[in-house]
Amino acid sequence: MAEQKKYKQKLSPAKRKSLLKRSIPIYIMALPGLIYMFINNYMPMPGIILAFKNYKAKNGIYGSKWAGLKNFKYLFSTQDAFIITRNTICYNLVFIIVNTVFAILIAIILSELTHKIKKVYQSVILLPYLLSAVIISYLVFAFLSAENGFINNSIFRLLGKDPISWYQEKQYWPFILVFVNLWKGIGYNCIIYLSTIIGFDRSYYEAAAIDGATKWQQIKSITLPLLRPTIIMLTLMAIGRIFYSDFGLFYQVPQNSGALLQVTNTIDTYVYRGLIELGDITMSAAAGVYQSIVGFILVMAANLAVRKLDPDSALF
Amino acid sequence: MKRRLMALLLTGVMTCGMLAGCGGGAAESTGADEAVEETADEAGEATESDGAAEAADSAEADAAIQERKDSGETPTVVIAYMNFAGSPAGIDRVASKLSEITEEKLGVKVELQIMDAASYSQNMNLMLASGEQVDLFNAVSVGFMPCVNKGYTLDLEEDDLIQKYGQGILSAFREDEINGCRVSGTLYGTPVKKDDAAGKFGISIPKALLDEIGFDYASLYKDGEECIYTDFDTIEDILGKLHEAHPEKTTFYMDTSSVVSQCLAIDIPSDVFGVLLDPVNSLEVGDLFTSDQYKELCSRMYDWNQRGWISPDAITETTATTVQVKSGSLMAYKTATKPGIKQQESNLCGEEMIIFQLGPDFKGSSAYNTMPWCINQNTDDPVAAMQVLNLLYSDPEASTIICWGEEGKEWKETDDGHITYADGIDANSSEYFNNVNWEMPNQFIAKIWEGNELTIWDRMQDFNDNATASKAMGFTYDNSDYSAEYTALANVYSEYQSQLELGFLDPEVGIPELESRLKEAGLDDYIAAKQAALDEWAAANGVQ
Repeated sequence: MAEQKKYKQKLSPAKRKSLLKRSIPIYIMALPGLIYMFINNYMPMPGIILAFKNYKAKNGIYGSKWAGLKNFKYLFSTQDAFIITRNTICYNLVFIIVNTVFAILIAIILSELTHKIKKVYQSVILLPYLLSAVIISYLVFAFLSAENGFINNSIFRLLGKDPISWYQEKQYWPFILVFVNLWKGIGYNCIIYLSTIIGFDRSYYEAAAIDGATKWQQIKSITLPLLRPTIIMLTLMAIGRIFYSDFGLFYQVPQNSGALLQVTNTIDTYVYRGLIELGDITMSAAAGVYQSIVGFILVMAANLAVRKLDPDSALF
Repeated sequence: MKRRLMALLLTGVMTCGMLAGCGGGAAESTGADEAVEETADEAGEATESDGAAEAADSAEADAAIQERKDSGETPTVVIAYMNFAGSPAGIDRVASKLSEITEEKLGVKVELQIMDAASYSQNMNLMLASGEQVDLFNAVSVGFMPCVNKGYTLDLEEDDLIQKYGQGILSAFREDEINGCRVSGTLYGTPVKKDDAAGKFGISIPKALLDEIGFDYASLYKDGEECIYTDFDTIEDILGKLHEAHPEKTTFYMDTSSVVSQCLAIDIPSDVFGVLLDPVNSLEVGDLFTSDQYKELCSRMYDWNQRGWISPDAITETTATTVQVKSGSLMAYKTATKPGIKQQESNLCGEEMIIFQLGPDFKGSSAYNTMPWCINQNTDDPVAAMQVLNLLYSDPEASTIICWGEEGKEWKETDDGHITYADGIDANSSEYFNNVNWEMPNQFIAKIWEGNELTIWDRMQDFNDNATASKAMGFTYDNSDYSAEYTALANVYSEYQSQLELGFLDPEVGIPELESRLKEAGLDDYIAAKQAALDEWAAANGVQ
């Protein structure tokens, strides 16, 4: 931080002006994204007050009566509160770790490949990310269906094993969900790492090669340290979403099977199940507010921790 | 919220695309059939109620129509309802056909919004909350009570709206039927002309399969009845033989969301947490899950599952039963019965079905308000909306169009006064074949599809009048003060529901487990609150 300040003071007004001029195209490039974010994330923010209202369509959002914290009660009042919180946070923690490790691994492998084949791999890995959760749920079902699934019908029969009713046995699902999530997300996650790696100055690697460093040593001593800010930034952002769960993954992929709820029920699916019949928008708003506040606190805390350990990598 | 909005946006874009896609076809089809239509209308039955409605139309109604026509503007009334297959291809054409009538008679145009059952509730909630134009909607699946609680529904007696402009509706029902749509004395909806009772635990099996296993169903029919009233031994015998003949097909499947409501003769006010186990004699709210009825049902399904009659994939099945039969993967399924059920299920399955019934005919407390038609409180023109609704209740021609589509395109008249598929059209190629006439305002005045007797609606009236009725007829439970408990209960129940009710879990183990989890989630409080509400209602309505 201190260094940055000094750097700023050193700039002469003329230099600062030319820097600004050069940055204008970049700001313009960012503009659509910023506008989108403003419309999508900031404009609906006054709607937060819905969470504290007893909403009646007739009176409108602002005219409805205040309800205090009544709308939040259902999130905490039950025995399930622990399970859904545990599932949401633990799955996300595992996702962050597993996805980061594999994304970096794949990104490094891809960066070492020759040009043509790399494009093919990259597209193939990215493909699942572009599929909707419903389609993925049926792909998974094609493997796991008790009657016609690939695993029961082809693999297990070949091995002489008894078929498993996958959608009724919860012990397998933590692994299945982590795997599916990894398979779905890895293509997207590794793109960011890959583009960072490609941007590294090749002369580091050349110098290392001349000094006789092996590939592994190059990765360990050049690639990973240089990747550190990116890893920290992406992880911080992921931590901010740790209290949100991928609804499609937890609702569609287990085919909404009741028997699996103990290991697949997260905050989002819990809210959905409860509200699908009630259709109560104030209660959904309450859940959203709760998730946002916890997410905000977690990002601040994580950033604080990073700033203590490594000031340069902190987001702010 | 974000995801929902996104979904709405996408749905909107996709619907627009579909509308654009079929717009061309719609334009050509109008006009040519008009002459035929009019004569057909005159010949149609049920002109009686039509005449009555028209005579009853008040001076205010005529004045409103005249004023609208003089103004030179034709407002559009948007009508929303659900079906099972999503927006049909002919939706625009049928809407413009209907508009011809409404324009002539009322000076109003109509637009139809048809959504499939899975997304209807969600979309309607968004549309009603966001102020998007929807003037008339059916509250089915969205839930009448939630709509009223959130204030989506217009008070139909505000400024005597229904008295002035909805005489056709009022004359189509008895007063107690209309009163079924009152919440704390205020009228928020209009009932639907349909089967108010339900024959419990019907089982539908294709005729061809019964012939194949050599089952003699013909001798089991009693005079003039369309269902075979039978017992579990007979059904189990049939299912066993079916399973033997076709082990590769699924023998039996139930749509999990309606097992309790369609199999047991109990009254379920609003939700299954607290039910009237002996609704004909007692107003006591009891616990379904400790009841003998529930245990018997689950035990039977457990037995059937053990015999291999239920698919191992049943728990994750989301395809509608009738669609499964149509595709040849399913042999028998449960349904609630009513007069006309045989034809309805045969239409849906694309082949002749034989209907068996195992339970009694029963009319629950929510018979009149499970799917009322409501006017959005946000509507620009309540008078126009009410007049369109009134027309749908009282005009046979309009009712036929919204029930069956356009003459010559979807249906044609047969020599004996029925209607059937138009030339070259079948269940698959029809562009408007919703089969949700129980949700339409007044199917009793629409034309009758081939295969049903022309007297079906008289039989329906008998069926409704003769079924044993719950003592709590007309009671609706408003759970808005217990929404936290409800959410918890619903989550616990969804964990066990399909496992128990499709027989994947031994009820000896599963039911006690479910019960103790529900107790933890506040079942007792919830039942007590429901009982208190019911007692209050009973006192106010003089029910003993």
